[in-house]
This record gives sequence, structure tokens and C-alpha cells, in this order.
Amino acid sequence: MSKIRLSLGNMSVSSKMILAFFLPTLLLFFINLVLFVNMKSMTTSLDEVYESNNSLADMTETLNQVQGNVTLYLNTRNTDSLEEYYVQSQNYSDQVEKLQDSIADNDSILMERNIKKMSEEYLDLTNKTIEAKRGENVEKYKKLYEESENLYTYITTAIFSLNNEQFKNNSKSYSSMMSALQSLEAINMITMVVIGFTNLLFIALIAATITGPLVSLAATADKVGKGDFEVDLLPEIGMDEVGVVTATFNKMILSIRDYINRLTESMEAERRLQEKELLMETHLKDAQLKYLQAQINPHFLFNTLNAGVQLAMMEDAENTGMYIQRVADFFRYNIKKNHDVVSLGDEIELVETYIYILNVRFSGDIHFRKDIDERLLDAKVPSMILQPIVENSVNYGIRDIDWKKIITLKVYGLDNMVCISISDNGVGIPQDKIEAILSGQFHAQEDMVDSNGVGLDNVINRLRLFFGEDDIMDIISEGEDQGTETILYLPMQE
Amino acid sequence: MNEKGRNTNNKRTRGGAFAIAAMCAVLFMLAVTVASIYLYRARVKAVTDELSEATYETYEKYVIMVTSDDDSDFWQSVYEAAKSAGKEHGIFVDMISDGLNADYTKIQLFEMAIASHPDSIIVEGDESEEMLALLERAEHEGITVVTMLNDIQSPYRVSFVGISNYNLGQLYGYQVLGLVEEKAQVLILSTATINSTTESLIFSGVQETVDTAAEIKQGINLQTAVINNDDAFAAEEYVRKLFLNTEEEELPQVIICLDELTTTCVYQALIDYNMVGQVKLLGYYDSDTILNGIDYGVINATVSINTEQLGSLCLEALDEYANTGYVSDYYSVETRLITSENLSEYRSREVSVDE
Repeated sequence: MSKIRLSLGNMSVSSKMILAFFLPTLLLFFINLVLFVNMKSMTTSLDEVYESNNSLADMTETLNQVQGNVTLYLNTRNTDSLEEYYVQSQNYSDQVEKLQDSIADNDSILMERNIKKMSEEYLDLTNKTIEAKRGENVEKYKKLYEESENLYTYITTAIFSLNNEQFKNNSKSYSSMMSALQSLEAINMITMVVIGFTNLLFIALIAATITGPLVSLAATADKVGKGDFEVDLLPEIGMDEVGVVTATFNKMILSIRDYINRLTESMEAERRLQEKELLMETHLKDAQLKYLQAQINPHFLFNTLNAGVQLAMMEDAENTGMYIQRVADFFRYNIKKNHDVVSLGDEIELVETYIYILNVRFSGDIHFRKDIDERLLDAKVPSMILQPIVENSVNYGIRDIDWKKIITLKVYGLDNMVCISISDNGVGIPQDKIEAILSGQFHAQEDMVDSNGVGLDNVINRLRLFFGEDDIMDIISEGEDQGTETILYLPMQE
Repeated sequence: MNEKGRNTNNKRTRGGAFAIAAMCAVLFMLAVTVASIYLYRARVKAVTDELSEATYETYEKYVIMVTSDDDSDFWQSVYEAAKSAGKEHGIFVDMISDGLNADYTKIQLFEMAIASHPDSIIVEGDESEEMLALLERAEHEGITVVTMLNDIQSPYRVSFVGISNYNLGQLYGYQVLGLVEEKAQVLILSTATINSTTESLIFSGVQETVDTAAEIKQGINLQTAVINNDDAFAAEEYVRKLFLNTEEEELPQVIICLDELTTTCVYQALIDYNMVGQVKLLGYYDSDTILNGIDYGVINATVSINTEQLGSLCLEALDEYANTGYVSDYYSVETRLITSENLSEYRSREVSVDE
């Protein structure tokens, strides 16, 4: 049973339609054929119904002919009538031959038999009559004629009676056939109507197996188009063309879901990776810092340096004492202010301290010029932002130049921003390097000699984080040996 | 995987439902087709069965029965008995007047019967010349003839089955003696179908019986009348004339009717002309009408002939002759007198016989 179900379901759409059309048509054709054949046989039977009557009528006719001709011949001796007599008596004899002569318990059959016997006798008599006439035996032929005439009347009556009887029977048969025909018509009609309706139902069912899946497919496709990938998969009814489409559609939905999942996963993985990297960096820097911080015991450092200052004072080495003091200041600031927010004034102080130290090292080589708007000195900024920039100018800009080394620091307000400009007249920075630095791709070399460890990229990142702005710094260098200007655009905070 | 599995089940059940429904539709159409064909065939068969000739039992021998009044109860009863007796011997007994539309006389029927070449003919005889001639012709054609009730005086008939008419006369005679005192007129009435021999025998029987009581009852006068029934309804006409035209005192005290027809006519006339009791009626045959007549007291007595016996004896005679070539010349059929006394007994016996 399930095999039949499956095979039915797996028929192609065109096969189904052909079946839906062909099968009932075949049925109807077959019925029609059967009904036609039966109808035909019945009409043939109907034809035969009155055959017996016809043959009896023919017999009467022939008998009349015979008698008529006998009479005529006896009257006139006409040879034509004699010939006619022979012809007709032969006819009659043949017809009589066909009558049955069994003895059965049925009036009609017996009458047939009696007619046959009487007719045989009659023909015998007529023959004898004719002979007698030809033999000129007047008395004899007259007598025989009388006898035969008697028989003639008897036979005629008998045939007539039999005919009537058979007519009654035949009419009965005919009417029962007619009623049969009518009931057959009714059966026919009902059959046609019933089959017609059932056929309609059958075709509707077949059509439903085709259109049903298509409709749900369209509805589901619509939902998917609107972005709902969590639709229920469609039921796959059989493997006809529609079934194939449905199956493929389901596969597609699953694939889409799968793809989206994978995409989401990979994006998440990438993000996590980035997070991790950043975390790593931070941790690393943190570790470095702590390591360094751990290495430097602040108290020891300051006490050491203070002792140095004391010694310098005692030896009247004022410059030395000043220098060591400034170094202590520098380191103090370096350690303390690493995480804090400081004022701009503090930062500038640090820069001055730094320059001073450098000048001592490099024998007053670096000329430091300031142009500061005093009102902006209270602006809050992250610590350790200016000194690294100055350090860069010193290390990269002016270190190996022959001419007079000048570093200029400007602080001014502009459009709600605090602008800080540090410029040098050094070798400048090529444009591509500027872009690298600004985009954060330029990492400070960690084992830089003469560096306080805070690189420019760190400054940029912290500034960006603090002020929440990317466009925080600009570096301008007009060309080789044209110097470098680094400008910070810090939003003013009230 | 589970979800997918569940979906597949759903798929199967829904697809299956469709397929089952479609197949049911197809099967239903097939069933309707088959049913219609079957109904059709059944109807056609019913009709063709009707049409086709039933098979009838066939017989070896054919016997025709010819009487003066084929349709009468009397002869019908004889015929049925002869027919059933014949069936046992493979002989079919036929009355050819059955199928014919026209009315024929006994002579004509006899003629037709002979022309039909049966094996034998049973005929109600009479004394006419035509009968003699036809009997000879029958013998010529090799047809055995047995006469019933009335004989034909001819060597060409093989046997005669009938009643003793003299005895019948005696029976009537005794009844007459019981019904009348002195000086009574008795009319013996019959139709022309009766043989003169039969009639005279009956007359003798009555006369001699009456004569034996002549010392006690004198003056009983017997008369006979024969109705010429060539014309239809002649008997009824005669009886009517009798009662209308005769004075009351001159009507016979007793009328003896020697056949069913006259008995019934006189019976009716007695009622119509209010002569019940005045004119006594002795009848012939035991039809229901006549028995009722006895019951009502209009008819005093009737004679019944054992018609079954008559029929079966005819067949016996034929059979005997066919088998051995010899047969008895005369077979006697018993007669019975029915009066109001033994009427109920007779009726119950008839009923039980019928059953």
C-alpha cells in the first residue's frame, strides 16, 4: 500500500495530469461501449420479437395464393395459374417445413404442429385435386376441392389464432423490453452523472497535490524574503517536480541559516581576537610599566638624588645641585603623573625641565621658545603628552643638524579648542611617515635609547581616548630640513 | 535531525491522505461502472429470459379430445383428468378448440382433429352420418378413436367409455316415485347432442321403474322432448317458451334434464317464473350452480358422473390398446345421485379429492 502511495506521489506532474484525464475518459468510453453493445443486442431482439408474426402473415399470404390459384385453375384451366400454383405450393411447403412439430404442453407449439400437419394434408389434397382436374375426373376433383377448401378454412383460422396468440406474447415481450430500455436509460444517466462528479473530485484532488505545495512554497519564500529565516520547513509530498522544488527550497533555507551562523561566528571570533590583542598589548604595557616601576623605588631614587643635591650644595656646585634637582623633578613627575589628569601648566613645566636637562647634556644646544596664552594653563589634559612630542623633535628632528636648534612651544585658543603647537627646525618628517604615525601604525621601538618609553602612538591613543576624538593631532612638515610642527587640537572643557 | 524526521512524517501523512483519496475516487468510479454494468446485464437477462421460450416438457404421443361443448365444466373436468392421466404415460391430451378464435361444431372439430394427425382421438359420439364418415376417415389415417358418453355404432372405434343409461333411467325413476303421488306428468328433456340410443335407454329405465310401482302410484305419464340446439341459445329459448306458453296446471310435475345445459336453464326458469316446489327438477351433472340449486331446494336431485374417471378410463383404454392391441369394448363410469341429504358429504368429498 505504501509502495503504491509512494509511486503515486512520485509521479511527475504531467503524468498526474495525463492520468487524471485519461483514466475517467477511458472509463466513460468503456461504459459507453458496453452500453452501446447491449443496446444493440436489445434492439436486435426487439426486431426479432415480431418476426414470428411476420412469418405467419407471410404464410397466410402464400396459402391464399395457393388456394386462389387452385380455384382459378379449376375455373379456367389457365396454365399461368397452374404454374403459379406450383410455385406457391412449393413456397408454402418450404414455409410449413420451418414449423416445429413437437408435442409439448404449450398451446402455441401444439398449434404450430397441427397447422403443419393440416397444411401437409392440404397440399396433398390440392395436388390430388389438380391431378383429378387434369385427369378430367369431375366428381373426384370437386369432392377433393371441397375437402381441401374445408381444410383451407381450418388452416387459415388456425394460423390466425396462432398469430393472435403470438401477437399477445410478442406485445408482452415488447413492452417488457421497452420498460427494460427505460430503466437502462436511467441507469445510464445516473452512472454518467455519478462518474462525472467523481471525476471532478478526482481531478480536484490531483490538482491539489500540485497547487497545494506551490502555494505554501510561495508563502514561505515571501517570508524568507522579508528576512525570517526561522520559517518551518515545507512538507515534501512525493518527488514529482513540485516536490523537487520544495526539497531544494528547504535546502536553501537551511544553507542560508547555516551561512548566517558561520558569518556571525567568524565576526565574533575576529572581534574577540582583536579584543584579545588589545588586551594583550595593554597587559604587556602594564607589565612593562609595573616592571619598570618595580625596578625604581621612588624613595630610594629621591633620597639618592636629594643626597646628591646636598653634596653639590656643600661643594658649592650650584649648577650641579640645580641639575640634580631638576632631574629629580623630572622623575617624580614621570612616576606620579602617569595615570592622572594634569593641568596644561604642569605639562609645560615638565617640558621646561626636560629641555633644561637636555641642555645640560648637550651644552645649551637647544633653544626653547615659548608663546603661551596664560589663560589656558588651567586646561585639563592627560599627563605625559607634551614631553614625548618634544622628545621626538629632539631625537628625530634636531639631533644631528648643524644649525642652531630651536624648539618652539605655542599655546593658543582657537574655535573652542586649546591648541598646542610644538615645532622644531629640524630635518622634518616625510609625509608617509606622518601618515603612519597619525594612523597609529607607527610603533615606537621599545628599546629606544634616550627615550622615556612613552611613544608618540601612546600619546595619540590616550589623547583620542581622553577627548573622545580622533582628530586630535596634526603633524606638519613642509619638506626636508624644513622642520616639523606638531599641533594638538584639544577641545576646551569647562 | 529530529526536527527533520518529524517533518518527514508530516510529509508522508499528508501526501498519503491525498493519494488515498484519489485512489478511493478511482475505485469508486470503477465500482459504479461495474455496478451499472451488472444492473444492466441483470435487467437484460430478466427480459431475455422472459422472451426466450421456456422449455416445455415434450411427449411421445398426441391425443385430441373432441366434444360438443369444450368449455363446459363437465367436459373441462373430463379433459383435466384425461390430461393428467396422459402425462403419466407420456401422452399429451389436447382440446384444439382452445386456441381457435372461431367457434366450431363438433363435426368440424373432429374433421380438424383428423387433419392434424394425432395418435388418437377421444370423441363424444353421436348418431350422425358425418360422425360415421369421419370415424372411417380417421381409421383410414391410422388414428385410434375412443368414444365417450355417447357411442358411435361403428367397428372403427376401439372402445367406448360411458355410463349405463338404463341404470341412469332407473335412478331417475326411483326419484320420480319419491316425488310424486298419482297422476303426474313427467317430462324428460335433453338437447339434440344426445344419442337417440342413450335417450331411449334412459327412457326405458325410468318407465320400467315407474311401472314397477304402477299398482301403488298410477297415472305417471312420461314424455320426452329433444331441443334442437343447432342455434345458439336454443335450449334457453325452449325452456322459456315452455314456462311462458304452458298453463300452470299443464306444466309437468317433474322435469328430468339429461344434460348440464338444460338443467341449468330449467333451474333458472323455476326461480324466474316462481315455480319452485311446484315443478320438481331432476338434473344432470354436479356443477356448483346445480349443487347450489339442490342446497336452495330448487333442484331435488342431480346425477353426477365421475368425470375424472371418465377421463382417466379413456386414457387407460388407449394405453391398453397401444400396448397390447386389444382393449375392452366398454368401460363403465360410475354415476351418483346427489340429493339435499348427501349434498354436504358429497361436497366435502369433492373438496378432499381436489386437495
